[in-house]
Amino acid sequence: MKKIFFWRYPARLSFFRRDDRPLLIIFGIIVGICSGLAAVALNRSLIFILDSLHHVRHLWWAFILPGLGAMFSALYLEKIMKEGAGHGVPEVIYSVSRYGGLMRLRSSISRLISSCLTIGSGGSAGPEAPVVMSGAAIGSNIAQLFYLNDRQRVTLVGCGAAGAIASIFNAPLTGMVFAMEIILGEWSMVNIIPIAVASVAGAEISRILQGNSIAFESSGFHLGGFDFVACLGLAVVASLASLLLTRMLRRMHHLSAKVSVSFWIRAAIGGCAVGLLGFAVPEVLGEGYYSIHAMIQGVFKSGLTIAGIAFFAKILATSLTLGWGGSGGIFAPCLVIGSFAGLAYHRFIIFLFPSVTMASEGCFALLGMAGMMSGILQAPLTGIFLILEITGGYEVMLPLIIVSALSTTITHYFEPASFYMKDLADRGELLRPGTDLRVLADISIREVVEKDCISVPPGMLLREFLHTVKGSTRNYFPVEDEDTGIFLGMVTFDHVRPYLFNTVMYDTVFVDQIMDADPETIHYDDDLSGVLQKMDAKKCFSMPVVSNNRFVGMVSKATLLDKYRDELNVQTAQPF
Amino acid sequence: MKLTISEIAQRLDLNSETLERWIRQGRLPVNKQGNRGVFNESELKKWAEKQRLVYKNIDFEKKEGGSSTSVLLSSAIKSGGCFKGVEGIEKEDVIRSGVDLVPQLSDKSADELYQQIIAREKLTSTGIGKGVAIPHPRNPLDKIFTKPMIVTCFLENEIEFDSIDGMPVFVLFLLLSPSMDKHLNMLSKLSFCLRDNSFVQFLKTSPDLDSFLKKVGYMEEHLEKGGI
Repeated sequence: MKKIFFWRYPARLSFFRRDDRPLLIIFGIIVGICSGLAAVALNRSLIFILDSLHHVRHLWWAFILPGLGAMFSALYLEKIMKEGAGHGVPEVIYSVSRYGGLMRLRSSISRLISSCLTIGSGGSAGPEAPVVMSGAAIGSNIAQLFYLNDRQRVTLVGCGAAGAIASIFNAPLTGMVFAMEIILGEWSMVNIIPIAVASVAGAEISRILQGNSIAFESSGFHLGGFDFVACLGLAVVASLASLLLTRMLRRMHHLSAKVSVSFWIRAAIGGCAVGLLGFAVPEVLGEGYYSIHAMIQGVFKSGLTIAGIAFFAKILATSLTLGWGGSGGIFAPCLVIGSFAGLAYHRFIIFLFPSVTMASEGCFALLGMAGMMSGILQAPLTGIFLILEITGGYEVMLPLIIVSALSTTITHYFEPASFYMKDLADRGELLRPGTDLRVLADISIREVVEKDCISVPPGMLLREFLHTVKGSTRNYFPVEDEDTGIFLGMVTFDHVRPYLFNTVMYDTVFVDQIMDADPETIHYDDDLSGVLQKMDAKKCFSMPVVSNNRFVGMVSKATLLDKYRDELNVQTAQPF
Repeated sequence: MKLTISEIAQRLDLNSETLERWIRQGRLPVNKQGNRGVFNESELKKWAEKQRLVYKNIDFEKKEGGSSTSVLLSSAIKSGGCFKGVEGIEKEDVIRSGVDLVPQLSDKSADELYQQIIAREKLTSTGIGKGVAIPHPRNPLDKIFTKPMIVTCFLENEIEFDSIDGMPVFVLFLLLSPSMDKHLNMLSKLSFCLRDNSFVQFLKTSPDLDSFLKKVGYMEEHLEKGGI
């Protein structure tokens, strides 16, 4: 029997216990292939839905399509999958930092279907974040199947995310950088190699099944000196656009929360509004890759005004879709908005200085995308690599870096936390590896409690108490009821210090007369950062832990420092 | 190697909850099977070194017996001996006579001990009142003494000793010990006995060694039971 189940415990082989890198590489390939397949599946089904709905798009009632899609997606997520709406990336980040990448099996499929409904019906959102969630869940569940430990599981979650991004954009480098920069938040040798392998596997799957094509082929950009100057302006425009989108999304969230109808009607309202907007500006519907294609190629016919309107309309449509309960990612809308911004900016400059020679507007659309991505995600590397790989425009490398870096910096000035981290950071749940919060979050009260305290009954005389003090190594003594064992208060050495040399009081004072009857206490399930805040507020160095009215032990800052150092050492060390 | 989680925790000097979490998180090269951990000893040792933790083998630890600092007062008095009619007119004379009575002491060591005691007396008198003095060197003479001892000297005549209460001294206790903590332990126990007035009255009768030891033994028992 044991032999049969042995294959489920590969990590127990002593070879892999010593060095699990080969194991992780093998699993990286498997996870990369699986998440790559998930991405291809989503892509195919999106194309299928778009094709089958194509002939009804021009009918007058088509505006309810996005409404229906958003409604079904919200209902599906809430009732069948029992998960919240949203794009899922913050959930992945949180699970990685708090639960060692533990994710539910159903997460690997839930977002795929819901985003398919939202986007396929015309909602303005992207398929990337759902596919990231699904890839991450695949990685996590493969790790759980084989009983891998938390560290290995986190790596596989990263592998899943990398494979998904690599596959959906046919961009292996972007997948790798995205997983490291956004999902894991740390660059370590142990992680890089399996993730790189998974990226390659994901991209390869997509190439086999869908052909090796660059999404938005571009070429022939020739940049002059003036273009570099213009880039600076574009960076400002892009960061303003990303600020606008971030604020708009949040505003929409608050607004929709105020409307007191059930969640699926809310999603339907948002969807219908997008549908109506789509009548006026058809470019806002769906993921919008077609219009990016047109803009990069320089065949986007409409003028400056239309481009400007489309820019704002897309921001509005995206926030209507996502803010009112639709399901999907922010990647694709960002790219569309960015390219609209770049295009409009280019045309505006030409309008102001008709005689100036500039690179083509496709080039600026591309740069706009990079600026927008970097601003929203505040991950400049992901922005740069993504644009490079999906356009193949290596000629624009230098302005690309400039725009990305500038846009990240400017946006960071107004919005210190990126779109993905904002909610987590607000709740104090952004626990990046090697940070104070993370170290404290991992240590539980159970691990730092010191149980070698001597408890005393309330009716004890001061003389006997001093004798107890003499025989103890600690300064803190819990007072417990003799019969019931209920915690009554604390006596510390500080309490008796004033009476230490007053022998008259030795036989006249009882312990319950000098004890602190209402000390600040902590519980087993408190978190340590909260406990430390309490200690700082009360300016004390130790606190009693009380559970079910019974004294359990003390938590002191001195012991905590010891454990904290061990923990920090262990967390930041390279395992090999 | 296969050990239970708590055994490994002991070897690494860690909380077993912490150890279990670290295993779950994959921070150290130990695999968990049931409530046992499987590991390679040299591997784990190497890991512990890198983490600035200690890995110790408990089987070796147990053999080392710790030496307690607690000194039994009566046995110290017994090994020091009790002498009556010690002569001398001045403080220095009686101390010299007392030092000469210390058992198993070479002349050279006796000189050194005398110098040390006098040096200590110059700082403050060791006459602690009620006619009792406890001369001792300031630093323990670990080269001369291997075990703590108290040499009790009942004096022929009461002499001036610059005591804190100005009373002349009738008995000397020479406190000699190989280490400071033993010295302090002995001193604290002796001073506990001397606080009791009936004990001092008993000393004034110049008792012989046996009844003196019996009394001290009784006091010591009382000290163990309670009191500060």
